[in-house]
Amino acid sequence: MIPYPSSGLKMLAGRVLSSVVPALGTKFAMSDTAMLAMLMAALAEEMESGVDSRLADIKTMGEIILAAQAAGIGVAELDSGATLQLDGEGAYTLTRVNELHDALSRILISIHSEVERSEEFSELNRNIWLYLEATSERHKLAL
Amino acid sequence: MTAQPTLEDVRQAVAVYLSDKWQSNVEVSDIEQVFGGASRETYLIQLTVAGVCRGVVLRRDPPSSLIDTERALEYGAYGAIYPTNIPVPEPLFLENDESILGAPFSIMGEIANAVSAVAELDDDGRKRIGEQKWRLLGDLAAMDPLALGFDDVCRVPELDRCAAEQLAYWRQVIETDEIHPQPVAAAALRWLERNLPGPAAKLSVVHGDYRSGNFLFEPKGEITAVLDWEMCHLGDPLEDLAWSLDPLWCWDNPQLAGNLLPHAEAIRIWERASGLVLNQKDFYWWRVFAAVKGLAIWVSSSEDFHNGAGKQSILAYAGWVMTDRQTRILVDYLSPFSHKEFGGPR
Repeated sequence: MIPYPSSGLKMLAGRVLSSVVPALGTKFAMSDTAMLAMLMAALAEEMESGVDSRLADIKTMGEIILAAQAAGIGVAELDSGATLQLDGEGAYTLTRVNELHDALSRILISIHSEVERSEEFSELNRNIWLYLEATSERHKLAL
Repeated sequence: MTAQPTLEDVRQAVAVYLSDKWQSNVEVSDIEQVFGGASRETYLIQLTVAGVCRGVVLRRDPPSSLIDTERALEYGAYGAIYPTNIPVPEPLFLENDESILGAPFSIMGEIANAVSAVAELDDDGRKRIGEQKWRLLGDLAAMDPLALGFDDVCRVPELDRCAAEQLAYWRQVIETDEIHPQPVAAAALRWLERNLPGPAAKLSVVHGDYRSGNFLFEPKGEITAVLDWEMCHLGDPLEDLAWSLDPLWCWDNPQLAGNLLPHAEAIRIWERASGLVLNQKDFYWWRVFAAVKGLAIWVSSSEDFHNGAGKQSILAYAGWVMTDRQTRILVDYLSPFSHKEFGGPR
């Protein structure tokens, strides 16, 4: 088992920046390698918080979708048996969480297009925009 | 020739190629690859031609780029603009024979002693370069593209189709290349469809990527070259103005357009130079469009990196970092509940 993989990856990225970059022979190689190190650091962040941030999205999207269904908005994907949350079986890998996140995002797009111009569903529209604002903040990379 | 030539490969090929083109002995005294050229691999090359020193820039097609465009379009744009007062590098050769460097390439004259980082300018420098930047853009908007021969370089759209055609193009890029569904882009595309602007006030040359970073200037002097014309097309001049004012180009300081001038001042300079008066409603549309176009480019670069078509680190940076920032800008523009922190359309 690798202890603390994200901090390990960050340390490796730091080592590339401090030791490898200065030893390179061209400005292009130095800039390219420095950017690779920055991207490694970004990946380390995503390893640490990626599942949590996607699960937070999934929770809010699930609530919006249920509210839409309760308001009588047809959600074909739910009628055909789509799930709104991970069932606890199996690992919470990024791949698995991504799949559900993508599925719910598609439903959200469909609901948003239904409600965005309707006075009747203004509360739902508001909650969708607030979610979109929150998720875009949540996933912002600190680079 | 390998798919990715070494610097020595390029050095030897360029010396042979230019010796043949110029019918003179050409030696390469120095060569370096420039980092950050996202659409083409860019090499800065110092030559001795029959004993005389000069610099050239070679732009080679990469396996994949942020912007999938025809090299002939970019080269043709340089040729058409070169005789005007908009400074661009002198286009020298366009070569489509892939046997020479493993991919097509173009060669242009070097712009010597110039930099592109506006962040390093002091306040006076920002003002000076900013005034030139939007004056040149206004000058470009005022030109007659047909008189410049642009009808030989790119398609001529109808004035009332400029917006719809650009929207259709970038919509298709997002829909084809998105790895994950993009709810904000989808909402923005629906809004753009519902609110198409009126016909363009005139047909103009649209640079397509007119932003800080895509022009060179002397640190204490003037703008000496407008670069990166690969997204050039004919269309509504508001498109370039909106792109130049996108908050992405001044992320840390949204009040300064392109990290140079207050937005209102940039617009005033552009209006004076172009002779056009801004239609606020149409301009709002183009601001939102600019953010969607940016998002399309970042989504596309992410896809190129993910599927292995391009391995450049700049593709991953653009895809991973810029997508979220551009999405945040679009939410700020379109959400009825936004705090308008980017100072964009209201």
